[in-house]
Amino acid sequence: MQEYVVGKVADIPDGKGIAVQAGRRTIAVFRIGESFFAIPNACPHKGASLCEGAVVCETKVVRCPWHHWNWQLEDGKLEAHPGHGVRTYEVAVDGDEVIVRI
Amino acid sequence: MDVNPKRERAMRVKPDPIDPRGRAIGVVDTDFHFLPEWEDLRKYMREPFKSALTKYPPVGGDYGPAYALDLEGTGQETQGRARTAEDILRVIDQIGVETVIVSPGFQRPQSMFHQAAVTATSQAYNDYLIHEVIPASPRIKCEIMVNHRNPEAGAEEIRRVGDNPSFVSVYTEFGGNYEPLGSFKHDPIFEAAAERNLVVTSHVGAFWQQFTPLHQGARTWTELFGIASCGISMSYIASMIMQGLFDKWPNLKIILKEGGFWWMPEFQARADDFYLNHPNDIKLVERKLESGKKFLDKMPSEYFASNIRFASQPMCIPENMEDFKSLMRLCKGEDMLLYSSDWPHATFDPYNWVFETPISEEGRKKILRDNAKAWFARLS
Repeated sequence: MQEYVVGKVADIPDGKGIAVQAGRRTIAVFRIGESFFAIPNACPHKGASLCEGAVVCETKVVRCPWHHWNWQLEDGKLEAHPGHGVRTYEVAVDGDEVIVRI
Repeated sequence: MDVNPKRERAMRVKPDPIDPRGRAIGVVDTDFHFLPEWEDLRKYMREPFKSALTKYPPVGGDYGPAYALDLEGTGQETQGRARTAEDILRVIDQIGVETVIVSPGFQRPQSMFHQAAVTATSQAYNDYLIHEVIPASPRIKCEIMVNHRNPEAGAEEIRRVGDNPSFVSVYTEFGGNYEPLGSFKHDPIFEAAAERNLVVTSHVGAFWQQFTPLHQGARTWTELFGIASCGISMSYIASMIMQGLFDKWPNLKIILKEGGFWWMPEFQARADDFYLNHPNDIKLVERKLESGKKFLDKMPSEYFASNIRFASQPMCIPENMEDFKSLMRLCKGEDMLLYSSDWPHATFDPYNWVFETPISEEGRKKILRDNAKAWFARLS
C-alpha cells in the first residue's frame, strides 16, 4: 500500500470533487462536510471524468456527468444496481492534509 | 490509518475524458443537435408566423426522460445547448470532433399537425443556418430541416436550399403517429434528395405522454426510447425496402439515427425468409404499380449494404468482448457504422468505445471518419 497526499483539506470544496494523479492511477476525491471519499476518476461505463460529476450530499452519491450513473461514494456500488461497482480507496485527514491510501 | 513515512505527493490534474487517439484521426460526428434561440430563428421566419409564433411551437404533452433521471428540466439536453456557430465549434473541440453534421434540435415540430407552422419553422431554421452558422466554419455541415409530413413542402424546401454545399443530408424524424417514412407518400422528398445526392436521415423522435411509436401506455423511458425506438426503426426500414423505395432510387442513401443496430441480423434473416414465403403483395405497392414490376430487385437483406447506414449512438456494448466481436461481424459494423455523439442529449456517446473495444485500426478509422466521407457525398 502507498499513501499519497492529495492536498490540503481546503483544496477540496464541500460537495465537490477533484482529480489527482497518484502513481499510475487517476483518482477522484470528494468531500462531503468533513468526510472524504475516493474512487477511480474514469467512470467504468464510458470513461467520463467523475470528479466533474454532481455530488448529492444527502445520499453520498456522485452522478456521472455524461450518463448520470449514480455511484455511491461509501461503498462504490451503483445506486440502481449493486452488481456494478467501482473500487473505493481509504481516505484520511492528517492535520490539514488529505491522504489517500492505494 | 497507520502513518506511512514514505508518503508521495499526488498531483492535481484535470483529466480530458475524450480518448486522445481520436483527435489525430479527424473524426466526423454524424449527429449533433443544434438548438438556436427561438428569437434568433424568428428573424428568418415568414409572416404571419414571424409575428404570431412568439415562442417555441406548442405541442401536446412533452414526455422526456425527466422522471428517469434525477435532473432538472426535461432531462434531454443534459450536456448543454448549442445556440450559435461558436457554441458548436467550442463543443466539437471539447469532444474531439473535426467535422460535425448538425441536426435540428427542434424535434417536436416534426410531430406537430400544424403543417404551415412546421414548414415556416423549417424554412427559418434552414435560413438561420445559411446566414449565421455555415459561414462560420467549413467544419460545420448541416442537415436540411423539412416538413416531411407535407412531402411537397419538404421537397420544395430541399430544392430551395439544397444547392448550398454545406447541406449534406435531409433530416426527418420518425415516430408512430403517421405513415412510415418508406411510404410512397414521401416520394417528393426522396426525389428531391436523390436529385442532389443528399442522404436522407431517419432520426428517432416523436414522443408524447407515454406514447411509444408502437403503442400507448408505456410507463418508463427505457420502454419508450430505449426499446420502442428500435421497433419503429426496423419498421421504417422495412417500409423502405419492401415498398420498393430503393428499387425506384437505387442510389438513394439513408442513415438511421438512434434506432439501434444489433437487430440487423434478425431483420435480414427474417425479412428474407418472410419475403420468399410471401412475395405476391409486392406488386400491389404503389411504386411497383408505377413500375409494373412484380417483385423486389434484390433480397431484402441486400439493400443494407447499398442503401442504409447507421449512426453509432447509442453504442450499447456487451460486457463480454467476444460477444461484441460476434455482433460486429454479424452486423458488418466496421462498414455499416458511422460515428455519432448525439450531443447534448442524455445518451451522449463520446468515441472512447471505439478504442476500448476490439476493433481493427482500419475499422476505427472507417467508423470515425471514412464511412461518413463515403456516405455523405458532399463531405469528401
